Amino acid sequence: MKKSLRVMALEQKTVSTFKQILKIEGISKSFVKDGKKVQVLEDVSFEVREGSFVSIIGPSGCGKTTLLRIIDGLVKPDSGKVLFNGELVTSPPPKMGFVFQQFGLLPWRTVRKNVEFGLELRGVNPEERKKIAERYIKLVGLEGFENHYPHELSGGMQQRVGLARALAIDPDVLLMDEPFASVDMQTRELLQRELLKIVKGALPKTTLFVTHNIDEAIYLSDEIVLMTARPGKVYEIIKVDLPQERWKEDIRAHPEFIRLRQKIWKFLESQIIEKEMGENESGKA
Amino acid sequence: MERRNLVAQEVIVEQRESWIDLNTIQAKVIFTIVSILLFGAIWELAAKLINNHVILPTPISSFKALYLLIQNKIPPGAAGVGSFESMLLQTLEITAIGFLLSSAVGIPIGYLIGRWRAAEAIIDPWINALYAIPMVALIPLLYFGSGSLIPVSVFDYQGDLLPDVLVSFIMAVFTIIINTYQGVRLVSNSLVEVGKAFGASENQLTRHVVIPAALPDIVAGMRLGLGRALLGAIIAEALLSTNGLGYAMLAFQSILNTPYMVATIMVIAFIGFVLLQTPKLIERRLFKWKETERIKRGGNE
Amino acid sequence: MSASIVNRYRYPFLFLTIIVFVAVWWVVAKIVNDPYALAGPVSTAKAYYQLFAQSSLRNLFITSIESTLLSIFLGFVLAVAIGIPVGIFMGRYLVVDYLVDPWINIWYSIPAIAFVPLVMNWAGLTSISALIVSFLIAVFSIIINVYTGVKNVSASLVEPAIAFGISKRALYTKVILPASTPNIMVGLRLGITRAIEGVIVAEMVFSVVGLGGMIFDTADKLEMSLTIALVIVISLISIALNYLMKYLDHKVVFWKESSALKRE
Repeated sequence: MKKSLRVMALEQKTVSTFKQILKIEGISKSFVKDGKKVQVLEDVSFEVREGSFVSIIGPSGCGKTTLLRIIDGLVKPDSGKVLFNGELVTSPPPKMGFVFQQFGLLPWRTVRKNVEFGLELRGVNPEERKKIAERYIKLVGLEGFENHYPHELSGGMQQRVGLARALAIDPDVLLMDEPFASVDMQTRELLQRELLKIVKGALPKTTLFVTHNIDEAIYLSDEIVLMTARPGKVYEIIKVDLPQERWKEDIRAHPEFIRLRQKIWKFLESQIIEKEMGENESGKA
Repeated sequence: MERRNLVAQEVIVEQRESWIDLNTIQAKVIFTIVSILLFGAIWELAAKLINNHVILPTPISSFKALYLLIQNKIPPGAAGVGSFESMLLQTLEITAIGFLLSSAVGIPIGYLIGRWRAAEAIIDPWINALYAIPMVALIPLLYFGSGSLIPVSVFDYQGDLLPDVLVSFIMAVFTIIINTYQGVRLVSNSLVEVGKAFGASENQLTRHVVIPAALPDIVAGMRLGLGRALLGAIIAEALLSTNGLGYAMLAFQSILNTPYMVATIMVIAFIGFVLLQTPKLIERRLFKWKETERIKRGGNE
Repeated sequence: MSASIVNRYRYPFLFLTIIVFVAVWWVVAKIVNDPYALAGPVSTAKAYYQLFAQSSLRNLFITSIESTLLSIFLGFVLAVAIGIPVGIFMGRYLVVDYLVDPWINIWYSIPAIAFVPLVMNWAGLTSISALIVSFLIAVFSIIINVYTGVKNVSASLVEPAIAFGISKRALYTKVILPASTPNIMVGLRLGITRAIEGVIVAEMVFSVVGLGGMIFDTADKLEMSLTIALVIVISLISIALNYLMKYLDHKVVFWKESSALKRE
């Protein structure tokens, strides 16, 4: 199993007091499309420490969405495994929350009933559910909208409901699949900030976040996993050395931010160009 | 990205590991055969139980009758039903002419009112009404009315096909108008805007934007219209004419020869099935891009 | 004439179109000048008076309406009661799907009238026969639509449910069924139209029962004004029932602007 030098260095640097909550080992996955086998992921490995915010970024089609689903147990990999709190993931673990790009709210349920969904499935009794749901609705800033229906809300508000729903089950890890991609740019930045205030402030959560937006990845993360074009491999894991509580300043003008952005953009650009040239990228490991 | 177009069943199937892979074509074929045999068995059983071949003939006697019917061996007493070829031909002829006429009239009308956006508020209620009215109720009106209107000589010429064709036409034309109307109306405004932005004239817009975009709906309307035309033909024959499959069907019924009646129904069913399914296959090939949109919009015919 | 003007005064305009329609009708009738071919609005109005004034006619009229409405209602309710569960089972269990599917397609494509002689043999020239025909015609349309709804539930609703750890059973009751209600409602709207048509067709063949029978009978006797009057009655009934279904659709599927109803 070839690992990049970076990854190995990171592993050595890992302080043992930070529990390793997620371990992705050698994940490979292929699909059959139009009779041809398409290798979407190849030998992907990395780790997520407790309390950290890790983004996965890569060109379109690099399989990062599939990877997230494999981690959550929604999709079975061809080979490799995912260890969550030391245990093998074979189906969606109860302690993993997932936020979907298309929101995935049940349109016939009110906001509150949607947030209660996960609790309902876990057999929590109605009164308890209601209280918990209301707490999280308040946390994401939707107080007063409990009895509204999704179609009455804007995209940004709907995704807040999605977030509340995922948080309500008190997960150990929060998985987010390009959650702000279906929202306009301004709302997006607002939601990013609010997300950080929650998972890095009010309610700390280990978060794994898939995106193709560079600024978003840098703004939110402690670490960024760079993935190559299809077949997706881990190219590099970048540590983001920016201060915590980033919502407090205009972090996007920070020199380190700019450096990282250039670096990642260069990488993505090369990936996209190579993909378009149809060449087979061999990940520089 | 790849997963976004998946439908629920595919997601669930990936979760499940069943002991029989039911998703293969072989499985489907086997089950279809089993299903047909099962149906035949139930039919046979029911027929034996009822033991009255007027009410329910056995599958065997029905198929025997079908066989004889195709060979033109008409039972005695079937008043002037004519040869099998003649009845088949008449039904098909009426259906074909009715369908062609209704397409020729219905599509242009549907197009015109579909394009006339300004009048949408007025036209829509009429279209809804048109859709709701059972066209079959108009048939006696049409038939007997036209019988008075059209000179007898014309009647004789076509072997009184004309009123039948009229009925077939009426049954089909409104469906075609409505579907064309919907197809044209729902051509996305943005597409039309693109055309206009490039300086397309009304004519060019029609030819290059509106009609191609509305085509799947128009064709679907035609397919449904074909079925309606057949329905109209059979009804006209059954109620008002003296030959054709529809007439034969009732004629056999009146002499209590149910096996032959069932046989005729099977012929009609076969025609109906072919007329409905073949266009569907062609449509599916031609209009792959509209498929997902149709599912989203709902309304499976 | 711009769309906004038309929109604002849509009810007056609508009324205008009805007046135009009646006027054109009157003119055409005058031109044709043959009461056995086409009756004008005036004679039709007189026919209405006859229907309500002449006691024998009125009785027949009322009995016919009752019979037709009953057949439609019962046939439709039966079709819904059977069609929805069958459609759901077909969607849920692949075995049921494979077994039933060939037949659905076959029965659905049979022209309505072909059912009539068969049913005639079973239940005679009665409103029960009309009911059965209406049931047979409506039920397959409903099954197909329900089945489509169940099978085409979007993955974006199913995936979250699975991610939150849902059992197969709960998936169906909490997600797939509610998500297929739009399609079910479309099926109902299509079903009512077919049910009505089935009843009228059957009644016309029998010609002794229901509004369809009355229509056929009066036309046969060339009493055109009565025929047209009755056709208008059944049209209004049908429009009302369709509107009822549309209303139901919007009430049940409150989260969508319109469950599009376009086809047959």
